[in-house]
Amino acid sequence: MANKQADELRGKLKTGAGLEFLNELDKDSLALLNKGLDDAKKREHVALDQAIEGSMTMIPFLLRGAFKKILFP
Amino acid sequence: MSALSTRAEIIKLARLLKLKEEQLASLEKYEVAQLRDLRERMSAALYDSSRPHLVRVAAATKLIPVALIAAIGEKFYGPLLCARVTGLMPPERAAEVAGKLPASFLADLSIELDPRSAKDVIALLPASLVVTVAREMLKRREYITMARFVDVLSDKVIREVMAIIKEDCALLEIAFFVESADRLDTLINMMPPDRLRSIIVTAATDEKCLWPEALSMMTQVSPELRGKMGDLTAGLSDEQLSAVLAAVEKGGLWSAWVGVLSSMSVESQRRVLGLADVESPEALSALATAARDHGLWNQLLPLLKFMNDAPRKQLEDFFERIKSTVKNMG
Repeated sequence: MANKQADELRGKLKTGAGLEFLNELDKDSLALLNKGLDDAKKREHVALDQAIEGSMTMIPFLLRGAFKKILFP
Repeated sequence: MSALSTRAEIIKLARLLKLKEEQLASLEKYEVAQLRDLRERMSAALYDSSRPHLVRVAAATKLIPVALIAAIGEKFYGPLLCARVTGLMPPERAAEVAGKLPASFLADLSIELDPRSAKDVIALLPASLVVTVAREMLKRREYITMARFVDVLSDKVIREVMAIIKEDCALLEIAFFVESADRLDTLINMMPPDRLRSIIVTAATDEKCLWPEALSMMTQVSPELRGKMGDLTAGLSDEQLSAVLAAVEKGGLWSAWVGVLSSMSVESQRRVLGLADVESPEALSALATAARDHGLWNQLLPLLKFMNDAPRKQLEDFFERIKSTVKNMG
């Protein structure tokens, strides 16, 4: 089980070899690292969406079209 | 070698994943290099997952004035996303934006930033701005973050930042966390001799017991600099040197100590090895074991002549026993 979780984490990190020490980690620690990475990705994506949406309110009206073209091609 | 360096890696990983340090306690038993590898790969995975969007945001910043980028960055993007976009913007423009942001925000941003990804931007920042942000980080005791910037800041800027670090403990911890051995050499070489001496005294006497960190630094620098630091150590008072040896014994750091000893001047070696603290049976046994385990006999043997008769004899006997064991084995 732990090895499966270690492989899953290595897959997310795109590392075929390396990080062998992950195989020694207990399953709770591996689950925490896997979830920590997934949550951090989600948080960043949500924060980025909110930042883009919020920032539009400060972009001068005439530039908004051009701005959107770049951000949402 | 040091629990502090392992802790530093765990702090950085916990920050990256927004976890608490205690949650990552199971990683404490691993090597610093393994933890650094894990953190860097996680950081790269996170960055890669947002990169296409971040590239578009960086491109969009070309349409609006610098002051507006700074205002939007501070109000909506926050330190983490601004840190991610920094390295994707043209360096001149990113440096201009930095000039419009308050020091406290730049300090927050610096914690999130991988300095290597933004080294062109950092190189363009005026020294006065870097010093202002460094002052803010010092207030927060952000030594780990400050150390990460040593790799990318110019020597001139480092000198200016060092001038505002009044506490030896702070400077010692920052130096300890520097990842590149070359830059650590440069950093220590920049310190005036009095400051370096003062740092070594602090490491030996401070209640936080920072000697393992000081010793760890000495093992990473060039032999010449190691010798210089070793000589300064040998110049400590008997009481201070005893505290150093007690820390070496407590931390099981004899192999590192032999490395420093062998780089010292002859006078310094004589002084240190003549101390009663190195003559206790426990210390001799630990020293001999470390020399055996780490293949340091060749470094230790020439130094034995500086020891008093009884302890020298004890170490020589130990060495003979090892030689005959090796011979019998094969």
